[in-house]
Amino acid sequence: MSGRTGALPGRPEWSASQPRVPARNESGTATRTAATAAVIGLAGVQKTYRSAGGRRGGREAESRALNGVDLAIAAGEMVAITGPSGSGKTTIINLIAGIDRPSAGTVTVNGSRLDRMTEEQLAVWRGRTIGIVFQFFQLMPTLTAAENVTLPMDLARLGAPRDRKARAARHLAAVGLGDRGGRLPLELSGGEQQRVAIARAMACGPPILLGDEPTGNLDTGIARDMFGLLKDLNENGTTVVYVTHDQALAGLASRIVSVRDGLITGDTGQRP
Amino acid sequence: MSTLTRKARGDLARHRARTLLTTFTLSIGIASLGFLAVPGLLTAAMNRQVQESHLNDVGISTSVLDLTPAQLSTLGRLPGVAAVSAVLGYTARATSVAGTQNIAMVGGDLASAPVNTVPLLSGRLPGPGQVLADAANGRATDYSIPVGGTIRVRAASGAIVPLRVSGTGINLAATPGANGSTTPVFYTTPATVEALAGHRGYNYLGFRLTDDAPAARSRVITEVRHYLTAQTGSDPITALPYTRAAGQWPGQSTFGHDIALLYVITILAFVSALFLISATMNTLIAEQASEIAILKTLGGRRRQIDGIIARTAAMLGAAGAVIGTVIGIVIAYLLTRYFAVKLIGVSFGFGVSVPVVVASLAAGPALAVAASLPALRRALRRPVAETLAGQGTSGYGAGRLDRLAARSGLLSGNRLSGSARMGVRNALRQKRRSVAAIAQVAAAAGLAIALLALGQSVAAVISQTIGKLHFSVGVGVAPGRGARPFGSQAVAIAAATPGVTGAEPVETSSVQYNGQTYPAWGLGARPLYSYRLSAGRWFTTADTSAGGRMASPPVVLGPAVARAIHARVGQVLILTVAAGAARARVIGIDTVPTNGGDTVYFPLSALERLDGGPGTADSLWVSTAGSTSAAIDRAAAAVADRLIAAGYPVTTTKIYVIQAQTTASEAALLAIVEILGLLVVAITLMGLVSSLSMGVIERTREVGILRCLGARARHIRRVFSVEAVVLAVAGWAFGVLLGWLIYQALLGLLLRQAGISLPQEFPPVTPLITLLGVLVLTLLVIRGPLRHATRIKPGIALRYQ
Repeated sequence: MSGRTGALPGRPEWSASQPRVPARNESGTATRTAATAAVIGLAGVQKTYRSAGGRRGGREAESRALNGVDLAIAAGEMVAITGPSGSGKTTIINLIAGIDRPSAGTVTVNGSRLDRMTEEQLAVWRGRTIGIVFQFFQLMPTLTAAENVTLPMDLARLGAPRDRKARAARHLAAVGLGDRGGRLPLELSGGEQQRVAIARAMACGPPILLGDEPTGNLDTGIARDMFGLLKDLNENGTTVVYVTHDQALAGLASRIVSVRDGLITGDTGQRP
Repeated sequence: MSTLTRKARGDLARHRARTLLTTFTLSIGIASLGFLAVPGLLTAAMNRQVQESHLNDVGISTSVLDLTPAQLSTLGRLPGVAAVSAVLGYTARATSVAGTQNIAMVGGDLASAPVNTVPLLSGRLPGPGQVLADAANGRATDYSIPVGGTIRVRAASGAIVPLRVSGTGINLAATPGANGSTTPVFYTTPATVEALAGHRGYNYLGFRLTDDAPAARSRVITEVRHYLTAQTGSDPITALPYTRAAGQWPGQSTFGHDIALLYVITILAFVSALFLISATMNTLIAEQASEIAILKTLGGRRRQIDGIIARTAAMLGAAGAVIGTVIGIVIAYLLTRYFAVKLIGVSFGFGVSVPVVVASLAAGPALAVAASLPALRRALRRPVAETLAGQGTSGYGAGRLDRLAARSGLLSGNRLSGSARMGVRNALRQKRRSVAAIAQVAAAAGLAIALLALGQSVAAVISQTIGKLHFSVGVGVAPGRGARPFGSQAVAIAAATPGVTGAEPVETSSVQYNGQTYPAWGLGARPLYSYRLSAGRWFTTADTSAGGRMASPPVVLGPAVARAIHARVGQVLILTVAAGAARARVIGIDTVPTNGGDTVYFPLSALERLDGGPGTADSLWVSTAGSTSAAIDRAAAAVADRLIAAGYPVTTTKIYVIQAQTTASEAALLAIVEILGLLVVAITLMGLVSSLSMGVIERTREVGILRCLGARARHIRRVFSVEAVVLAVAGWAFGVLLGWLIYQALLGLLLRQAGISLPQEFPPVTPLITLLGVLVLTLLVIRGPLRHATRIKPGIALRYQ
């Protein structure tokens, strides 16, 4: 599959109550968007990982992944987070998604303070608010492509089952896999699997899409096609935040945030 | 320590949960070997008990003989005799807080007897007016009198004599538990028994021999018979002498039947455990597939990679073997103690079977390494590139079955939610492990079904044997001076008793054929017994009237004895009876399993003649008008009173009591088997828990992804519980067939090993009950893995390697 595949479907009708935000910041400044207008806000966030002791059962080892990060992302932005391996990029994505909890500081996404939510509440919130695309696709191996796309809707009980199937078919068609819905992941190529993953991420029409090296496991041509899909989603109003170590792909975003040693070392803001 | 060994240890430390689970799984499998220690431990304990109680090698029942100490001394110096003890036995009716019951009194030297010692277990040895209760009375006969309690015994004179229980003891030769008797036994001084029986003397001689070979035993019996005949003027031996071969002990045949079942269950448990170990090691190897591929890229040779995996497996196996051996020792001790105390009534101290312990310790590492080899071979054969490219996919979808399940039928429609659909299909992911889990559930379900059916068969046989006896009360001749066999006068007295509808004289004795002893009954042409012949005919009136004069009287054989001696109608048998050798002609073969199918039926007159008669009938079968226990009790008491008044010392046995006791003892056997079966079920459930736990551990990252997609705890639980139910139901389905096969095997085993013929009873409701049990147990045992799955934090899960 090469080239862009046409317009993605618009936001589903039951998401109409969600506020529509402009795709770009009209001021065009490079500074951070005011925190009060941010759809994603990290304030003074620290994250320390503790692992089991060494060979001889010693004390726990600590590694500081984030050393105090402040980040605000406005609705509709497309942000690339870059940095060397181990810099804390994935940690930021995980904190935004509520997958990890900060050791200090606060994380606010779409108006919700994630540090105050239980795991159950986070799971439900994620289903409706966040779409995640992983580097290694992480499709459910026992479900077909269509069933993988249907799964988030099943979990969130969005609409009637028949409607979920129809929506899944539309999402798959939007990523160019309309005729592959009945295939298991093992029967799909890497690029096709990632397309399914993107369709799955958008199944419930979330306002925010996160990607952790979403094209990291794809060759250049397919990676660009994939990025094109993300761009389309952003142009339709979805806030897209993705991690990449590929500077070329990072450059395609409207804003680049650089991370090093657990700190934000650069932030291009928004490009005009 | 080499790098490779360090890697093996590191692999174990890296995944502690998996290591612990694998070790525990292996230990459960090894623990099942503990069953094999039970026969050896029990035999050793019983042999010790035999030694301590100086159990007789030969026991001879006689008429009451007033032997002097000199005569006893002479008996003790006969060729081949090491020691002799004489006791006076007396059967009487007794009343106590436990009810009214026939009891057996044994008067002898008790603790100081050189043969058949009665060691004191609690309280004090009995003095005048006191008795020692056999320790097995409560359990074996349901007639328990506490120390300090009183029994009121009817003496031969008719007087009621109160006797206080001074303590408890046990004599292997007489204890009801080991000897399968339902008559409570009390030990006391000879003087007490003489006072009750109304005469002095002894009627049972126990001998320990210098040589316990069969020929030596026969010589001693002959010598004793000659001596006693010379001293008394006639042959005083009243029954076939009891002989005990070296290594035999009372209750051994009953235990032998139980042991056959124990071995069947042990085999099932071990096979289940093998499946468990194999599945566990398969999973372990599969998880290391990419590491094995990387080792190959680093230049690792096959032997070196084999060595790493073998080290890991051996370490796990060794840890599992140590834990499993300890568990097995405890299981063996508890089981042996149960058999010793509950079945036989003897105490059992702690013991360990060294061979089984050594085998268990060796089996752990050996089985773990052996179980890992097939998976290791598969992992080594896979191309490196294919293995390393396997990240993010599980291999599901490569097979036709996977694709069929995904695209057709129930699993492809809207009828199942996504999480339920995942659960069902997850059962197909790790096919080998799923097959192992299904096999284990099938083994447990099959065993449960077989045991339930066996219980139905046992219940049926009780109704088929006792149900064939059409009398309510058995009246027996009470032993002792003054005892009179039941002639026509006694029959008339019994038949004329209010509440009695009929009375039949019966002779009960025993015969030997080819060294085996069989019970013998002398009956009439139309007995109060519903025989069901498979060949030949029953006795005619001509047989019963002329049987006493026939050189070769006709006999009808029970089914077990007929099978054992390959008898056919028309065959002439040479039997050994109390008086010596006798010929008998087989005229029929019965199918009713009375006395386990071992009974040899004679015409009454013929058996009386062989036992020194005529007129030696020692039983009356009495049928009553009423069928309630109260009516039967009244009729039995009335018959006993009338016969005693007419000079017939008697004891009575009520059939409804026999039926209840038989049912209880069969229930005890089934309880043992069911308890052992539960251990197999435990192994199976451990396998199911292990399989699911492994699945949760393997799919930790997948659980994290589900959480990222918005899955709540109930969705996670549904994925895994549906998988567990699918495996359990599939296992049950195979278990129905396996259960029928095990049931047939158990029936065949009981027939071949013990001569016990049980009817086929396999009602359809049995598999359904088992299905319910399987589902309930499955949902109970998976709670642990489910709780673990729902507590997985997505952040940690996504970092899981």
